[in-house]
This record gives sequence, structure tokens and C-alpha cells, in this order.
Amino acid sequence: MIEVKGLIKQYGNHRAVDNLNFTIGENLVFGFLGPNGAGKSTTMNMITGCLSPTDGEVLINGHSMFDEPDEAKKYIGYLPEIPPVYEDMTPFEYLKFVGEAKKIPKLQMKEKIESVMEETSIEEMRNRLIKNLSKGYRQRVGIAQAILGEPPIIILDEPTVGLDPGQIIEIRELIKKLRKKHTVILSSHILSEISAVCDHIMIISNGKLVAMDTAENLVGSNDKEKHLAIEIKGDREKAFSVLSDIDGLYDIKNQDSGNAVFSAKFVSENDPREQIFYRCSENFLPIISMNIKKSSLEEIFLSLVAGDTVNKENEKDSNDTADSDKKDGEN
Amino acid sequence: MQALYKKELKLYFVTITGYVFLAFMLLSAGIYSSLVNFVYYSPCFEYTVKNMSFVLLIAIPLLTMRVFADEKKQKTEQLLFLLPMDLKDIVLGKYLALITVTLVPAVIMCFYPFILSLYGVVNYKTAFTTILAFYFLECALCSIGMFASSLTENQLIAAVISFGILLVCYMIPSVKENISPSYAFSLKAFTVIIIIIAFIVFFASSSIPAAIVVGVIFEIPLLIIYFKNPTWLSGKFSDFVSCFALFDKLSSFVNGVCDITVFIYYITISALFVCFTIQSVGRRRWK
Repeated sequence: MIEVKGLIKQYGNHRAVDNLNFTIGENLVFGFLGPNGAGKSTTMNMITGCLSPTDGEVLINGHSMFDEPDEAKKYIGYLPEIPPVYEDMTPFEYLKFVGEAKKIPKLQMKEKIESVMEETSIEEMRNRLIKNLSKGYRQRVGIAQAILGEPPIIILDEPTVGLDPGQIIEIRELIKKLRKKHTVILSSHILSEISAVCDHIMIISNGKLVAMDTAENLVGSNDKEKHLAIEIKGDREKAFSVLSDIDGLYDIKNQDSGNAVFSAKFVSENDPREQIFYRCSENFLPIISMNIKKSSLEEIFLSLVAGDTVNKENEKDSNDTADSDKKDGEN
Repeated sequence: MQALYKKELKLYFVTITGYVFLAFMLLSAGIYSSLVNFVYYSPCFEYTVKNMSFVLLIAIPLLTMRVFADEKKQKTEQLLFLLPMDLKDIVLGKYLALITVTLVPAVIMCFYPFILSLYGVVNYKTAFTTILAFYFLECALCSIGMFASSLTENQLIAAVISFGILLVCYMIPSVKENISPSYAFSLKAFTVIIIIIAFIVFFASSSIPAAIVVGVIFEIPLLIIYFKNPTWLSGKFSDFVSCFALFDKLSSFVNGVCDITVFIYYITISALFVCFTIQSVGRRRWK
């Protein structure tokens, strides 16, 4: 449905989006995740035709966004980061303008506007000027604009920013409703939001695609190294020496100076938990609790983004070293 | 384009802009008409219209300053880009709405000659062709104002830029008289213009070679003419400058000459600045 090929956006010497390639299928809720300034909004603006790329191609249902924009834009509804609403219009007038621009037939216009106003719960505000509406309602008007005309793809750029918790839950419910009929692409730097509503997650950092998979697979893929938490009743030092002798268990740390509470790591192929049980039993050290800590999406995100930053820094360092070597050579 | 045209037109009359423009134009028409026609007992409405062209220096920047600057500031420009409309539709939709708003005072002014006919003999042909030419002048000025608005997101700066351009156009007839007709002066003046064009090319393309190429393309023929046939250049700068005397073109209508070339001139200026605006708005998508 959406194919992005070699997308690049260069601002002077800064490369905001660096060779992005991905494909998004039908009827999915797709999360676009990344820290501030990672290039999420720039990518979304390029996918929707609001911004021209330096290089690359975006195909929407086979139509190029840059060669056949009119055809490609028919399939997309977009809510930018700041809702593009005219403050001197009422929501009804605004949606009528958007409907006319989207070439919705006149006979269906009223019905379609009523339907999106109902979906986004803005009927009560229909005749108020948008400048008198709260941020939450403006956001809803923006979403109504995006879903008007039922485009198969809906792209929402940080739709819950600046909303109160109640409004955030309502917007999430709305996104869940939208998934029944549309492909939804949602950008955010809030992980809980992405994990609450998205089927697939794409992580972008420094303009590059770092990971793209389902939330479960992402968590799983990073889970080769397991974290174990063990609480043992008895002498702390004795327990530590027992654990230290177990094959495959490493990075053992005492978490609490008073009790024998340890954290340790092991590789998933070499599970030492049975061995721990027998060895503790042999040494009369009752195990109170033993469990594997699952990495959260937050940890995955941080490790991927941090990894990318480290790579970038290493690259920079090696370049600097190469430069200084070169200079030394010249001297 | 139709949707945008309707929306723009509605916004002029939902907000105060359209009413301020109308009030300003009609008040000026009333004041000038009282002074020119009633105080001096003249039934010639064309003189009122000619005098009113001065008011456009303020009225047009006031009307056009928000066209694109406000869209950029309110971030609604993104909506226009993401809707299935191309750049041409966006600019033309807005331009047509602008010239529709300017049509309203022009149409109301058409009643004045009839009122004047109650007190004297009015030459309707001269009066109406002058009003028509005045309207075409407004259209040309609107395209310049719209272009200025597309350059910035600050409405005030847009108004100042368009006021500056219109003021230069307005002052050209008086400046022209003091321009030296010597060919040496023409060479210097044209060279300065070429340098300015090269700078504009540099700022638009960020390419030094492109600016140099454009500069050389214009400067070499100029130098050839200067060394081969210098007399051809004499007085040419003055002629060149008078091409931009938009307001002065109304004079022939006031004198009773319906000059079709002036209408073509105004249409050309409008088309040129509409194209410039399309380029300017399109350039923003690259930024």
C-alpha cells in the first residue's frame, strides 16, 4: 500500500532522513517511533506530499507521490503535528472546505461531514469558531479532516501531544476504531502509546531505520540475553559463592546488602535455572523467588537508539582519527 | 481550486480584512470625488479614479499581506499541500478570490458617474474605461502583493515588501525625469541591475556558478552593444525603468484614449507575478 524507496532529505549539511526503505501493508496500525528530531515528521511530510524529498520515491497504491500527486493524495488523510485548522471558521465550514477540496460529491457531503463529526465527537462544537475551541477539540477537528472522505490510509503525527489523560484515552479509542477500515500510521515518542495501539513498530533514529517489526518480535529479538532476579533465604556470601559456581550464569550482583537478593544474566540457549534450584537445595539455601525480567519496549527502544548513537559517535571518532592520521602523515 | 476560492472569499468577509479594504476604498472614492468633482465642479470621474490610484499603495498591501504569510504562520499551508490540489490551483484560487474582493469597490464606483450626470455632462466611455483600467491595475498590484506575501510568514514584513515595490512603481515617473540619457550611465545602471539579478539567482539557487552564468549572459551583450554602437544605449535605461511605471499607464485613459496595450500590460504583469508566486510557494516545499 505504501512503498518508500531510498528516501533522503538533506537540509544543508544535515541529513534529516537518510535512505529510508520500507513497505506498509493494509489494515494495520503502524507505529512510527523515534526520539525528538529523529526525522519522524519529515518522513511523514514527505510521504503525504507536503515536503519534497532530496532523493527517493514514495508510492501510494502504486501511484508516485511526486509524479502523480493528485492520484496518490486521494488515498491519504493526514493530521500534521499542529492541526492545520483555520481559526476563523467553524468545524462544519472547515470540513466542508476540506470535503470540497477532496472532491466529495455534493449530495454525499453533508452525510459524510456528519459521520466524521460523530466519529470524532465534535457535533456539539459544529457552529463554534475553531479559535474558541480547546486544544483537544482542535485535534479532533484535525483528525476529522484526515478521515473525511474515508481515505484508506490515515497518517497521524503525534496525535495526543498536549492532551489531557482523558482526551488521550479517547483519541486512542478512536484510533482503535479507525483500524477496522483504514491503515493507520501513528508517530509518537511516547512508547506506551505506541505499544497500546500499534500492530507493527518502526523505530527511526537520526533519520535512519533502526528496527521494524511487531512489538512481540521486537521484544523477543532483543531477549537473547535474559535477566534473572533471585531471592534466597540464608547466608548472603554462601549464596553468592553457590551462584558463582553455576555454569552459564554471569554478571551476578547483590541487589540488597541485607538480604540475599541477586540479579544475574544468562544466554537464553543455556538456561541455568534447574541447576540453581538443585545447587541451592544441596546447600540448604531455600529459594524464595526466581524470575526472568522481560525487557520492556522502553529498554528495546533505548538500546536501539543508544546503539545507533554509539555507532554514529564511533564513526565520527574513526573519521576524526583518520583525519588526524592524514594530517600527521602530511606533516 | 473552486473550494479554495470559495473558502478564501468567505474568509475575507468573515474576518475584518475584506470590510476594511471596502471601507477604505469607498471612503477614499467619496473623499476624492467630493474634492475633484464637487468642489471643482468637474463631471470627470476619471480624474477621481486617477487620484485614487495613490490609495492603492496602502490598500493593496493591507489586503494581500495575509494571503500566504498567514497560512505559513498558522501552519495551514500544510493542509493545502496535502489536499489533492496542485500549486497552480492553490495560487490561482487565492488570486481569483483577491481580484473578486477588489472587484466590489470597482463595481460600486461605476455608480458614481451616474450620480455626477445629475449635475453635469459625464463622458461615460472615458469614465468607465478608466474604472476598468483601474480594476486591471488593482489586479496587477494584487499579484505583486500576493508574491510579497509568499516570501515571508510575517504579515507585517509582507505588507512592507509590497508597499516598497508599489511605492517604487508609483515614483518611477518622477524619478525618470532625472535619469541621465547618456549611454555611459545606461551601461552602469544596467550593470547594477544585472548584478542584482545575479544575486537573486544566487539566493534562489544557492549556486555561485549559476549566478555567474546569468550575470555573464546579460553583461556580454550589453558590453558588445556599448563598444559597437554606444548611441543605441542612450536613454534606454529611462525607457527600461518606465516599463515598471504601473500607475502612470492610467494617464492615457484619463485623456480619453482606450489603450488596449495597457490592459495587455496589466494582464502580463499579473501573470508574471502569479508565476513567481507559484515558484515561491513551490520552493517552500523544498525547504
